[in-house]
Amino acid sequence: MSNVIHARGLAKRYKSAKALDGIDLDIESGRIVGLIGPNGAGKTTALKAILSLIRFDGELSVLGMDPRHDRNKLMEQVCFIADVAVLPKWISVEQAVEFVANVHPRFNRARCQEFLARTKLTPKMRVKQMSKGMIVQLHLALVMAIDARLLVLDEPTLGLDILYRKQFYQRLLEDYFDEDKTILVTTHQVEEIEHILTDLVFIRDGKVALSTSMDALGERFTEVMVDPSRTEAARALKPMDERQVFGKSIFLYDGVPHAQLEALGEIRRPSVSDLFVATMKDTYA
Amino acid sequence: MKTFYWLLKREFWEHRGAFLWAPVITAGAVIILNIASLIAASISGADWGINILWSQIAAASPGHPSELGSVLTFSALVPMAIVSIVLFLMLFGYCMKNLTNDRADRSILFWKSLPVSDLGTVLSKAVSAMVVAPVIALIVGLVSAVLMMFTLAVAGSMHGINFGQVFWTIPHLGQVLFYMVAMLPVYLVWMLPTVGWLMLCSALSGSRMRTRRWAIALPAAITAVLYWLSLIGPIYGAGTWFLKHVLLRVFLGLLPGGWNSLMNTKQIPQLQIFRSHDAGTNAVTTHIQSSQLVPDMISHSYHMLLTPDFLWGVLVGVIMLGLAVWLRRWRTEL
Repeated sequence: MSNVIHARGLAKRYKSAKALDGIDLDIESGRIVGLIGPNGAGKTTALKAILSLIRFDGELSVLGMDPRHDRNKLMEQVCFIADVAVLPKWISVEQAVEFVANVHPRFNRARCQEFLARTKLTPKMRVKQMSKGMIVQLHLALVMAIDARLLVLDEPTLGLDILYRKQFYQRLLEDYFDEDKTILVTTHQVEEIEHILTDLVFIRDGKVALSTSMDALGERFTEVMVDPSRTEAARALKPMDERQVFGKSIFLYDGVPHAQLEALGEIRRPSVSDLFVATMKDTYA
Repeated sequence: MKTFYWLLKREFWEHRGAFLWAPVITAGAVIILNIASLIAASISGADWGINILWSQIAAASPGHPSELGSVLTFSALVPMAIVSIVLFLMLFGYCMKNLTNDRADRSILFWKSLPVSDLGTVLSKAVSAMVVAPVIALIVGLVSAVLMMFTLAVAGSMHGINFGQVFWTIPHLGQVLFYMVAMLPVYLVWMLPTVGWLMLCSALSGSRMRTRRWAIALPAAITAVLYWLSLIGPIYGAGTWFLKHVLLRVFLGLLPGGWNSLMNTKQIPQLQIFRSHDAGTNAVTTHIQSSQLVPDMISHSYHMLLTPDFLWGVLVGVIMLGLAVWLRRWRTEL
């Protein structure tokens, strides 16, 4: 079984700047991949290349197809939710369901109705009358009723309150995701999706800064809480980052064996956001 | 095919107000105003306007279709003419924004997340403009013309005029309505380059303001430059040519019957009837001339399909729509 996404030297140049500067990426089926990066790092550009919304250079195959040529076929297998505001204002719930049901060969109307029944949406309600949270519920109900192999989410919960955000990912995990599906998600709210990710890709200045599975991440990166007395020894092991919490120093290491670090203090797996901050700290400098 | 049907339906959902309600409401308003004025005229009973017409028709010898009758036929077409103007204005607005709006509100990202080809999308918008909207307007126009005629006939019967006498005048109302239906394919071919141009501008532009600049100001500016060059001399007549075949086409291209502006009226002698309504016209001659009028106008319009204005128009229109498809493929932002 080939990779869901396979990219080599994926590049995109806008007039003045390189948005993507030679990205290599391999994403297998059945993964939930977080594509994380600072503003302007090229996340959305990468997603747009995968969705064939822009032209690009380099090699890219999605579900074994070249997005530049097989877009219509590809979009039968790929679903996409950009941030909340993309459903057209004039459309009503029943029109949206009717339209998708009739143009998408893999859409299951009964399933969609089932999802809609759990919300407060009514058939005649139009998008312009809905709150952001309700629009996302509608979009999610439409997308989850499509038996696609790749779901791309670009800041899907931007501007939503925490109840809708939690519900969004919970629905995806409980009612949608399985080993035949792959989810690729970008977001700034890293803490909220950390526990559902299986893989992590950091992207910075159009390049992949880090690509790892969450399991390997725990092996490779370690956070140690060090007593003030031993900070010199800790610094000697070349930490990626150092910060102070309640009088103790917290050091972040890349690739230092656990056994060696346990001598310095209490060790734990770093959070994705701490790792992100450590990796990207001089981005805006 | 099924997808295309739903794409057309999608356009109709989004533009129901423009495609359906705009013609229905205007035609309805015209008919209601007409009924109101007929009532007002019969209440006042004065010797003016429609009341004089009634007495003149009543005075015309029975059995001979009078020219006043044909005036009534054409007055029945008033709502149709107004619906045509509404259609023209509505199509102008629709074509200039139908590939801009969903980029402006970013809903293009939703439409593009579905397995629908860009060719299908662009064609569905062109077909909505060239077939769906005109057919709806035509049906509304035909119904309102018949309603208008009916109200006139009822009002006439109150003044002692036989309904049949009014209705069966020449040109026959049915014949004129048939002309409207028969012109639909000609209209479709006629509007193709204009629809293509406006939609190309819509696909190209970064805002609705800029669409207008491209679509109208650009050809107007070229016309001005060509006129100026004609004054200097190197390309004599180019300005006039461009004005007639390009700039005017941008406007007349969406007007039902706009191609008649290119028609040489001398080729249809029956058209003289529109010019001379003098009472001395021999009734029998008028009858022959004008019963031939509608078929002649139809055949003449169909012959015009083979003139350069139409043939080049089709070519240019297809190329422009092709470019619009390409732009739609790769441009998702303003």
